[in-house]
Amino acid sequence: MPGRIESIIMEKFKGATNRVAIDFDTSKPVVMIFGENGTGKSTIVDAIDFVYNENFGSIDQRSTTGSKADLLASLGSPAGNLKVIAKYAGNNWTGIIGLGKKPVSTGSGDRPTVKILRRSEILKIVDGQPTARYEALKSFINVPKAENNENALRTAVNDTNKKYNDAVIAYQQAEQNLKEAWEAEGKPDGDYKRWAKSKSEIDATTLAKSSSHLNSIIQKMNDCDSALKSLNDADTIYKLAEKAYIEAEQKYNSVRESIKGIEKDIVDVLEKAKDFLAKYPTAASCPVCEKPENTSELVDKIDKRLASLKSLIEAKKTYESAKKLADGQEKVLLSKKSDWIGKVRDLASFVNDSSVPEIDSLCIPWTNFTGVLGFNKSDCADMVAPTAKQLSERLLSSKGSIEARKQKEEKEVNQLKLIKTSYQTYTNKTVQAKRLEKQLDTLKKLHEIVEKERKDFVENELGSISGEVDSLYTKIHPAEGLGKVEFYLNPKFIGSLGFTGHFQGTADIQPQAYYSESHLDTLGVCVFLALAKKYADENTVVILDDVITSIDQAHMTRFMQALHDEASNFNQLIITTHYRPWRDRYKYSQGPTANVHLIDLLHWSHPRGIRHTKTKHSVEELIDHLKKDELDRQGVASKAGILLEGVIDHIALIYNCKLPRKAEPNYTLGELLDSISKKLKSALKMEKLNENSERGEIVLSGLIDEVSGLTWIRNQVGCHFNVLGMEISDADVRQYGELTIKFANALICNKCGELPCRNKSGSYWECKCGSAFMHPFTIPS
Amino acid sequence: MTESPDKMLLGKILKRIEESCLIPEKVLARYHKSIAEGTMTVEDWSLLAEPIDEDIKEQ
Repeated sequence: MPGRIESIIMEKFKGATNRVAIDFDTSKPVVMIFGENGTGKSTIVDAIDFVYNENFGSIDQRSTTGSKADLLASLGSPAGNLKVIAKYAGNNWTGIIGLGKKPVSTGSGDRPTVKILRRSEILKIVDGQPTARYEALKSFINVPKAENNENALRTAVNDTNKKYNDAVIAYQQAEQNLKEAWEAEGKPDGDYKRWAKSKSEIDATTLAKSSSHLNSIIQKMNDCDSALKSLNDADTIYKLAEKAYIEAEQKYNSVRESIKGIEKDIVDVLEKAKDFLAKYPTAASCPVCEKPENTSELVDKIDKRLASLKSLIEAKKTYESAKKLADGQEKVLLSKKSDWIGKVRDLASFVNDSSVPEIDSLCIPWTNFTGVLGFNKSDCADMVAPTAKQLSERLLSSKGSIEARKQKEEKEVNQLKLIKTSYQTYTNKTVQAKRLEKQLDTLKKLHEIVEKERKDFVENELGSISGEVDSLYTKIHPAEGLGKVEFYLNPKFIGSLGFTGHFQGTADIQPQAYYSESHLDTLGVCVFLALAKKYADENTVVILDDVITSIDQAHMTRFMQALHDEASNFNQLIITTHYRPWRDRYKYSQGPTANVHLIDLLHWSHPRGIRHTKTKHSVEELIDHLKKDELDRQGVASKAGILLEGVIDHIALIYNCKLPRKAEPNYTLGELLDSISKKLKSALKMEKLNENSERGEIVLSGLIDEVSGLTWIRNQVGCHFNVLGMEISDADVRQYGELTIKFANALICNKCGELPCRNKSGSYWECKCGSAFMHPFTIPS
Repeated sequence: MTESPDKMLLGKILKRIEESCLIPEKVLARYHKSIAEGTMTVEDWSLLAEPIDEDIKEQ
């Protein structure tokens, strides 16, 4: 038996607020999980996706904010607490939220390749934009490594293109600079490149040195100017101070002259006596005559005398202050003079032994200025100043011409530097651009190859399933003029997938414009199944998550048949649906024929989480009812009636039996039984292969008669309360149930569980596995 | 088990690059493994496509 998912346990995962375990019947290749909206179907599918594909499931396809891991956790529970344990082929795999809040799954043994089709993906496949369609199908033609190569190559092309453009711009700018400089020079040498080359070879060091030397001379001349200015300023200040001193002295002398006697000389004595008394306040006698004195009286007396000499004292203070200032300014003046002579000496020493044409032309008799050239701070500045002035004036007269030459040389140096840099840039960038152009050309050609191969590959892969899609689709929609779907990549855009199909015999139409919703749904499923089949490996499990919203009865039969045919290509087919008619087809109408494990999800609530009940087929349910010690009369009669209706309806459909015309094809059991003509009934028989492949025959007419004879029990006991029904014995009810099971089992294949419904031979109907055959092929005439 | 689509495609791409003679054999040989395994980086492609001096001289 192929590996199948045996069970799944969910804890705090989305709707599974409580721990819930679901066991799958691995003897059956198809599992149907039925549930109304909001019962947890997608939670189960997402849990399988989570544990086996390490995906966030349907959340990946929705627009969300924040951490997806948090959204996977049950409401109110942290992501770290969620856990999914699934068992496949005897091995457990456990999925949790790991580092970086990403799904992590660990386990041993084979991990199934789970391919999931959700309704949102169907819409993308059949009704989405070409880019969305490509994305939806891309996962099948999964070429991530080739895409990695292609993406890196595309980036390399873009990067190199940018580098190439930068190099071209750089050499063009350098070329422009050279042309402009060449034109400014009057276009020498006849060609700007030749000129630029020769210019760039000139050694500008000598020129730069000369320019620097001139700069130093100018700097020293400027120093002389500054020092002279400082000297002149100091001289002005000194002269003012000297004038103020003379005036103060004159005023002081005039005040002294106005005071008669010794008073004019006594001020100093009085001031000294006052200082003495302040220092020795307890002295009892005069320090000069030693005559006893009252100290405090003497101090008062001195103060009074000094007050009478106030004008003399003030004049004296002004005079002394002016004298001090004039003395200080004289020293400053002398220092400034010394500084200035020093600067003149520095300038003269700097230029007298170097060949500077502008200085040489002055013809300075240097021997006349030895005093300046050898000047020291200790020398008498006043003595040297006149010759220093002479020398300074002669030297500074050349400043203008030196400055002009310096500017010219500097300009020349800068221009040479610019030419040199521009020429180097031009040559380097030209070579670089050539290399990059060649490299870019190769990269572009490589990209063309890689992109074309990828597109061809994807197109071929998609093209290769067109036949399979058409075959599947025609099985569901025979003789409807639909299908012939072909996919193609849009050459103008990356990852854009278009498709065309047939409609009523017209080719190359866009299916999304002409097909009905259910036609598009089934088309999407067919495309998905064809791709899943093409890339199926030995561990492929396919999940169809609520892919059908509505489908009419005839198409439903063919769709289910097509699905069951395709299921054999995979290890397991898991279907979830909210579409009750589909589930009921399994449970009642064709229930016995389906080799399907049915799981019904119950109403969901936050406190209880996901709940389910293993739904039994009507045969199994009827058997269970009959096994009970206390017979559930109504239950048995009702279940038997439903089962019988399903089986007889199947026969009526296969043989196109005549039934009353009704708006809705809801036929009573009586009408269905009446539709089986005598000719058909007498010809109906089953052939079945046993374990040794030997054929055994079962004639059905007797069974039909027997069971028909008891159908009234269903009406009397199974449908509603009836007084007559109470008179029917338990044994009769039991017999009715047992006969119905016997009749159903006679038709159902013991191996695949299907009713014969396939026309392969053209002479009888057979089941999927070819072990049960129903005769005749048509009603005998 | 059949070869994965990725491997098949990478094999085809490598073959087509070889057939194109865009890259000298010796140079391409250094990147065979990376191309076949889908681990080429931007730098790898740039180095692979770098012209040899003869190419520049021809220009």
